[in-house]
Amino acid sequence: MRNYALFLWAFALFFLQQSFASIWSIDLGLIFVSLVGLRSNPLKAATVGFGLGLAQDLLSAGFIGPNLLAKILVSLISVAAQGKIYRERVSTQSLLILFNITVQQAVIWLLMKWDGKAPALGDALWVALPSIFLTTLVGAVVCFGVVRLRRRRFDPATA
Amino acid sequence: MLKFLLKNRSRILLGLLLALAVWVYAHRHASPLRESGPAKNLSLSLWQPVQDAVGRVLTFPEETLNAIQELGHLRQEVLRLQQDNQSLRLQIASDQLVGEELKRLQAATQIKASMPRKAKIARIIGHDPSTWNKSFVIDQGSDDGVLVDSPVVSEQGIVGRVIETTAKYSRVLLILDPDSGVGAIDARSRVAGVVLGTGRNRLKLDYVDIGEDVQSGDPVISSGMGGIFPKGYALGTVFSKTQSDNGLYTQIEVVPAVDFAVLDYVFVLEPVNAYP
Repeated sequence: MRNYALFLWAFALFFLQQSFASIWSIDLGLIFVSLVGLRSNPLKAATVGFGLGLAQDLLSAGFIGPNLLAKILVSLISVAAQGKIYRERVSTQSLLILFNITVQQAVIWLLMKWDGKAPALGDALWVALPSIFLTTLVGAVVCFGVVRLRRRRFDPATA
Repeated sequence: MLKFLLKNRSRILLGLLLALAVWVYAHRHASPLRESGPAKNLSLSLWQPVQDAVGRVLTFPEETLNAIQELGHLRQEVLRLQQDNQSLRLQIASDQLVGEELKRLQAATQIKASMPRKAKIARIIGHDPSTWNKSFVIDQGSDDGVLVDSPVVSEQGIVGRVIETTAKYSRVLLILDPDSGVGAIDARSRVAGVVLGTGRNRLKLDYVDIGEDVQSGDPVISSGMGGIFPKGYALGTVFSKTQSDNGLYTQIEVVPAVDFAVLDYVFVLEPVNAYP
């Protein structure tokens, strides 16, 4: 994906994130970072993770850092997964998103805990689990669309 | 050296990016980066006009269709309102008489009546992009007279408080946020405590001693302690009651009075200390 297209997608997703996705605990930024990481070099993936994580932290009520570090981490996990999984399949991409959102929520909770601002474990699970479930669900739908689009574009015979 | 740098430029840039991320996190409490600091204020000023404008453009077709549908009902509505207007005029005339009587009584007894709080209506234009923090942005800022620590309410009860303002926009920290705390009392038994945010759609009434009379279904209201939230606004209803791990306090789960998922508009009140 070209850089300007990446920027436009990130812009649109961030708008949707603030409009309704965060009410339902869905992290569209994570889905985007995971899918970009699967198809980019480490520098590009980490830059996207850095940008989206920083924007998320800057526009949230908490302190700056947790989303920034977590997004960079999941972008690098996605890059590392490139050689390990078959990336043009909905199930494998969805599993990667499930893994990434779980890692992200755990990292953010630990960073908040370190800062003394984390909710209790019981409450944290109530925050994290719906987010993990719904982000994975939406991620699976997005992956389905991405796989279909890419197949139509690069391999029309099997589309 | 130059050859080495060019050959490994991707790795070097990646390393610099990671170092920058760690630096930002390490300096999260420093003045420019701290919560409600200049960096956050600047990003709020830059991004929210864009979010607001795109939101208006996207909702314009839906609002126009709704307006056309509503035109048919307008005539009936006007007639109904004219009738209401007549009866309200009669009511006002009657209330004026009562009001004058009340003024005379107040003057006579030297009782200072609590002033009605001025409220500004504000539209919610963006929610917190992080799943761990609970806040939203409203379309009223310091130019409209909104101040930091102004309480924010809806017709259902307390929503939160303003933690950050720019000229046109303000950020409201919800009572659901783990950083939020509101002085509260059980409206039935008058037992006092503090309602804390949990990060999810539940509140905790904490710092209540064991044996205090708090029961499921009791309404919980703000106590006015703490100097931010006014007294007597609804916070929620007691859902369950358990003993804390250390055995010193009773932890009480409270269902918030406000349905945060469907909020579109809120009222920003003047800060409590604006009233003597």
